[in-house]
Amino acid sequence: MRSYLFYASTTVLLLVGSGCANSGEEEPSVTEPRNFVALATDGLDFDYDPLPSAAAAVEHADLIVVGNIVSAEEAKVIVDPRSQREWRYAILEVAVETTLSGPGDSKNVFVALDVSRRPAWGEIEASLPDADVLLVLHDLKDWTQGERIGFPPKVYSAYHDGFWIDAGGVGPVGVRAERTDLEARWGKQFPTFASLVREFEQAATD
Amino acid sequence: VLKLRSRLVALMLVSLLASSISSPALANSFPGNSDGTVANDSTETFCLGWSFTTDTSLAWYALIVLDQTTDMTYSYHSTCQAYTDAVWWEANLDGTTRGRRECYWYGSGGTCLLNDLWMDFNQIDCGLGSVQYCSSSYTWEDRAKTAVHELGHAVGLGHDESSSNAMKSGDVSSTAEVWRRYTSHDIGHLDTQY
Repeated sequence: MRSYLFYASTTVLLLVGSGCANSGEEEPSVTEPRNFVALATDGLDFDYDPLPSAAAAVEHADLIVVGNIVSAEEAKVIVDPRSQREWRYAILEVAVETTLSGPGDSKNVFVALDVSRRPAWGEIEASLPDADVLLVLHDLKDWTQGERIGFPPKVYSAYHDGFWIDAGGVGPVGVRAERTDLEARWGKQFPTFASLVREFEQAATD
Repeated sequence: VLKLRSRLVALMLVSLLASSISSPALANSFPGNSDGTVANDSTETFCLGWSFTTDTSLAWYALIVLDQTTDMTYSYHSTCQAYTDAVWWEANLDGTTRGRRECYWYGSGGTCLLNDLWMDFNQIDCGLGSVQYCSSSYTWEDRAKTAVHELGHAVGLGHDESSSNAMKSGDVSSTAEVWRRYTSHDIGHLDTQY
């Protein structure tokens, strides 16, 4: 009995230690998408309106696609010259493989991603994931804020919980949202990137 | 039989504690914000950027919540200075963004010396973009929640999607105060840090 209690208490201590750890302790191995995610979000935090379902995404989004990021250019929005505040953006060019919802005539789309001011641009560029991405997109045509520099004429932004990278065995990795949070909200599991794509395909055809 | 029973007791104990420990409410790390930074001390100084005009009381509200529910306190700077911890701004943020926190100036030892806190009142009021949602009866509560949320990021908190609390993403579903408060777990993190 004593030995079992010893093992149990040891396991519990290990779990307690990992359950509420300080950042930087025993980090999981970093996959390529996670490196991009870390660099793109480092220093930026948001509150956002989550998508309640794939059906809602189809209803609200201007375009939902699966594709590959082929290039990135640095851009910015001079929010307010008076306060010298600028927001840094990465303009991602995405080669569309499949259009799940919205106009199907887009071969390449541009996606503006609000990125941290801290990492060097070369680091962000070098970390671009070589993998499929699923994008739930909002057309920025009506977005009026500050002066845009380096933005193409036609550009989208991704919903916070609408930018997912295929990380192979790890499943879909969100740039701005955790998969577990999406699963809890939608009441479904998405262990693979393909299963998440199927969810949007199904919603688009319903 | 005794051996089997003790094995079962041990396994039950482990699984029970493992399931509770692995719940998101207990598993959030600190600092949990995107850059893993904290404030440089326990007094959060703040000022209002010139664009923050729709409801300036929201900034005060967020700071008062921090002061009254944690060991931190606050100090108002009538003029924004280089080392003001939190500068409040209002803007049209892209997409479905309600609030945005960016560390503008990093200090040593994993600190952020100046946070820009942006709020998009139109997005907060209207939700996913349909005008029909703009007349939400929880407008003030929704705005106050995002103000408390962004300030939480500035002092080191990450998201907590597990329960109704200020660090959950999105709009509030009731006028309950719990939506404008940090969880006791997050308060524990802040009180330990500051």
